Amino acid sequence: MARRAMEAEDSVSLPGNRANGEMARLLEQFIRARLPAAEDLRLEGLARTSGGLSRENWVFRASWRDPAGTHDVPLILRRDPAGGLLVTVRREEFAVLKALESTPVAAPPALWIDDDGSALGSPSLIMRRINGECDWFVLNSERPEAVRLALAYNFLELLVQIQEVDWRGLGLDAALKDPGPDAASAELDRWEAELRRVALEPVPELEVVLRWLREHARPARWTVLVHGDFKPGNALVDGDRISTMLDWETAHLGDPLEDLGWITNPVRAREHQIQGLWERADIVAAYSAATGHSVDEEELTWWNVFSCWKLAVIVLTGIHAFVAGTFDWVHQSPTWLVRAMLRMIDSEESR
Amino acid sequence: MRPTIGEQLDGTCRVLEAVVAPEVAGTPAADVLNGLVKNLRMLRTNWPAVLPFLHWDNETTAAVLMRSASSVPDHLARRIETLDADPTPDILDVVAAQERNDELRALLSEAVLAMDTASAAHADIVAHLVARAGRYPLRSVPAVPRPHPAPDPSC
Repeated sequence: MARRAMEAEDSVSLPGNRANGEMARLLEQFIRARLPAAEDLRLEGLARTSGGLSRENWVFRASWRDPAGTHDVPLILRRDPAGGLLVTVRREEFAVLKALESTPVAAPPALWIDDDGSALGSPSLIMRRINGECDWFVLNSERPEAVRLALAYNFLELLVQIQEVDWRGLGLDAALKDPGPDAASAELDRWEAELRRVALEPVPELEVVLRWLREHARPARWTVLVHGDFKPGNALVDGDRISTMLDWETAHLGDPLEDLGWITNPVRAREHQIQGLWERADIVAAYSAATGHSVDEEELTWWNVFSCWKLAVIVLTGIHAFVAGTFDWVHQSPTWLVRAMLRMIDSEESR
Repeated sequence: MRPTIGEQLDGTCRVLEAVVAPEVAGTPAADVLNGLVKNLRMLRTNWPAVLPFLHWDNETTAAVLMRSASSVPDHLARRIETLDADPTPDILDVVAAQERNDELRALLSEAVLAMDTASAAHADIVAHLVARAGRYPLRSVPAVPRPHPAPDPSC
């Protein structure tokens, strides 16, 4: 039912729409250049889909013949808008997706990249479309409790698989910088630079928290691949299993507790946790059992606070882009995060 | 003063929902429109609280800064001590109140980084920031788009 609804609402073609026509022309040129042996190349069903706070999504099917046979492939183009919540690098995301193809991690196969946007109007990736539905709150949906709990564990298994990726062996260190033990400081540097770029007004709350984060950052025990925005809202679920993890635009090398801090963050509990069944202690216990690594509570809380602080900076990026006229979603000052962060810091200081 | 600001915001929402929304149904613009209307409704409810909030925050921030003066370096303390001498903006001027707020919060940002985090002054500032977050009149309205592609039946 939900799937049919998504098809009906999200894939409405806009026949005669000038933007669609222009995109169809650009796409055909772009793909033809990448498939020189292709004959009878046809793109069908091109439609811009709803949703996505950080990227334009266009779905279509491509069919062609070549010496290898006949192909008919569902694809998605994800194109950078003029402004958004995140400023990220398509080349890095493409490298991550290509590397993941040889791993068990469920990620969409990436076919082509327009790195500088010279062909498609702005930097873009074309990926194979994977079946499944996206539901930010799937863990607290109307599915039976046992199914939701199994899905929660499935999410954790996926997180562990990502952390087990042999990023050196796959050559990912050529595309992503290994911060080594300084992973926490490197993330603070990255997001502080973003804060300085986008803040439209003084935000002493974020200065207080940043200072605390700087003073309490700990060295990473080892380096893993970090998704950077690991959440059900970035996954597709097919039946009762996760079919793919999407949105690798903030993937980087970093601390193993970073993604764990994101999903145990109390502010996002409705997305990541199931009250009474799958809460912070359950997640940490399952993570430790799956990885064999113990989790230091204080260190995890540091990453919880960091998650909120980073999210606050992302919200300010959205506000900056809205005011600049390059983003269509209105956000307000992230005061709900301020209270959560200061409460967590206060608890840590009172220990 | 009719239509009042509230009446104008209500009417704008009604027109957007009744006239514009049907024309863009099923397109990405529908999600954007939904988000904008939700935000307008939030503004319709909360805008009258903005000016009183700014006055409360300006007064409280100035008081917190004055109490912190002995906990910060001299050059900062001197700037804080001049706060009393600054002219009070017209209390009905929202823009002036906003500018004063930016000025005070910029000073607060400097002060809070310059003091011992274990000091009473630091705790005083943090308590003020928590209270401010609780009183802040404008709220983000959840308008989560359906983020990902339509499934392909043949996948």
